[in-house]
Amino acid sequence: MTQIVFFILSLGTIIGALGTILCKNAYYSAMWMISAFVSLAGLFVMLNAPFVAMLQIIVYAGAIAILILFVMMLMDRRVLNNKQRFNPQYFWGIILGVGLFSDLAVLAFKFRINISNAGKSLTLHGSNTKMVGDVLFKHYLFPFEIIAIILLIALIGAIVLTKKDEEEAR
Amino acid sequence: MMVVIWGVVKFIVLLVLLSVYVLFMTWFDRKVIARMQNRVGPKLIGFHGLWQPLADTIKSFWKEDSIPRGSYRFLFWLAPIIFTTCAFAISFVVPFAPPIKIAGGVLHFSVVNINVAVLFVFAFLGLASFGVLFAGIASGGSKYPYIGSQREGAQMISYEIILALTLLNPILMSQSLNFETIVAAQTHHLWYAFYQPVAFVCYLIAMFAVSAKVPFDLPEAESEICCGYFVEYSGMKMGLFPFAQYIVLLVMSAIMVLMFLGGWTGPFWSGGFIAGFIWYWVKVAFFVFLFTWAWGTLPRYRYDQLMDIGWKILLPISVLNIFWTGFALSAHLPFF
Amino acid sequence: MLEWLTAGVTVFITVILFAVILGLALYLSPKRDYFVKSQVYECGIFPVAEISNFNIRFFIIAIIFTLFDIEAVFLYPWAVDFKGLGMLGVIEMFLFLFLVFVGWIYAYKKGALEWQ
Repeated sequence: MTQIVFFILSLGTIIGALGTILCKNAYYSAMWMISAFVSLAGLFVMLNAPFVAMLQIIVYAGAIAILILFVMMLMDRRVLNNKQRFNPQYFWGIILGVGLFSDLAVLAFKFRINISNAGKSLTLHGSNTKMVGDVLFKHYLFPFEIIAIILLIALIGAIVLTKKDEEEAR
Repeated sequence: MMVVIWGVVKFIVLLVLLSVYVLFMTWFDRKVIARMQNRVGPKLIGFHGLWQPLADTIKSFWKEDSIPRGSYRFLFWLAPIIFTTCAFAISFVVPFAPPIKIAGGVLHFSVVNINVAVLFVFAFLGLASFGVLFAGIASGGSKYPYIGSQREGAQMISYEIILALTLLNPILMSQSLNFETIVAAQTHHLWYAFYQPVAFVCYLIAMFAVSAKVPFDLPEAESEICCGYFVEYSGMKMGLFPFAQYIVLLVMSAIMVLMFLGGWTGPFWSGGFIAGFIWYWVKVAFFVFLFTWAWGTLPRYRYDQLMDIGWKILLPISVLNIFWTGFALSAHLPFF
Repeated sequence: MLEWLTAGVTVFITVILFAVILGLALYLSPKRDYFVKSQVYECGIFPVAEISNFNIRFFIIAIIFTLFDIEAVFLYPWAVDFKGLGMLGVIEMFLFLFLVFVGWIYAYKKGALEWQ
């Protein structure tokens, strides 16, 4: 049972990821990307990490994908319609992708990954949110505060960049 | 396996009840607003026009379904489905009646009873905004849907932050993300609205903005941009958007009651399933009516005012409120 | 675990259901399409030019939203584990919220939240 669900979800993720890069229309790519994120959230749920799964949807599908969609809406619709499927450097991308895939395949064979373990949750049981809190605020105290500073810097950077554009446009 | 079968059974019941609720609500809205404006409202079909929404629904199946040239057809079809599905998914985690203890367990009245329910609501609210954005994008370069979907997208995400920050206060006080546990925590205290009046008011405002209802119905301001993001839609596809909006409205009211107003507990005559059920639905019905009431009375805000309210007033207030709650809880102030 | 399976199954059923409803409507509806009807409707007037502009303000709002969203979800594990973390968690979170607030003040002073 868990195996079937796992394979459905991972298939969904892979199809979503492939659709993202293979679709000619950027809006359809965004749609596939969201579906990949949602299936990935399903995989997190299978690992007994519902908090992380919800985070995946809220942050990636909810915030970042909306940002990307807004960027696409910034562009002219007619420009997006007449795009080529790949840019001229697609050869190197394929090489990289095949290399990474074969690397993973070799690793999978070398460590004899047992396919019947697919979808089995190997993590601890209990309230995932509470555990994340425990780990985040006790063991990774310092990195957590660094995150706050990084986010602050990102905010300042975003504001400085967009503000500059606006003043130039005026 | 029994859990899944029970879940599906509860889902079918919920589906039927929500559909009936939406049908009734369209009639109720029209009737109440007509009365507020000294009109009669739907009158002809059935008792005071009670069958009018049913007739409208059946009629919309036979409406010609025209898709504008140059639209992205698949996205055009997908947008209402995404929006409605996400609205329904939010309602899955919300309990619609107090749980009852039966032999060998507890019967929950939500389709799924998970312990990250509040986050589930935010996740699917975020996904729902894609339905709106796709509707605007796919409409074949039409201008009003495009503007409307931008507005709705930005409005939904702005006010989702406010929702997330205000709902954090009850969660801080009860230390749970499950609605039933939060309600149970309020039986020991007073209702959280008395501890968190600021968060309560902020949520009330954000609730109107998230469900895009008057006074914050900028995305579909009729006098400015026709109908907003679903101008190009017709027939059943068009019908699904208001359908989903009514469900979001109900779920937002239910969350308000569960988080701030003690769910199925009452100041008197509480305990027991029937009492809890009546208390809960009286409170929810009040908030649902509040939406209609606001629709009939309030004027619309401008878009810059909407953004100012969200980002300049509500956001700092709700962040400061978290400071206050954290301080009050850790210092064990009286009543906390 | 099974609760989540239920959630997945019911969401899937909902998608299928609404697709079926739309398909049924498509099957029942008449199809009498001609050139003017399949033009974009907008507000009933003959459409002039395609839309090509998008207000940069929406984009700035989306960026600020992304950052505040990430900050907001970090608050949730703290809220759920409030008792277990105790005073240390409170101080840590106050520092975090203080930085968030500083970010907000900066955005406010710079006029990034202004909507002209």
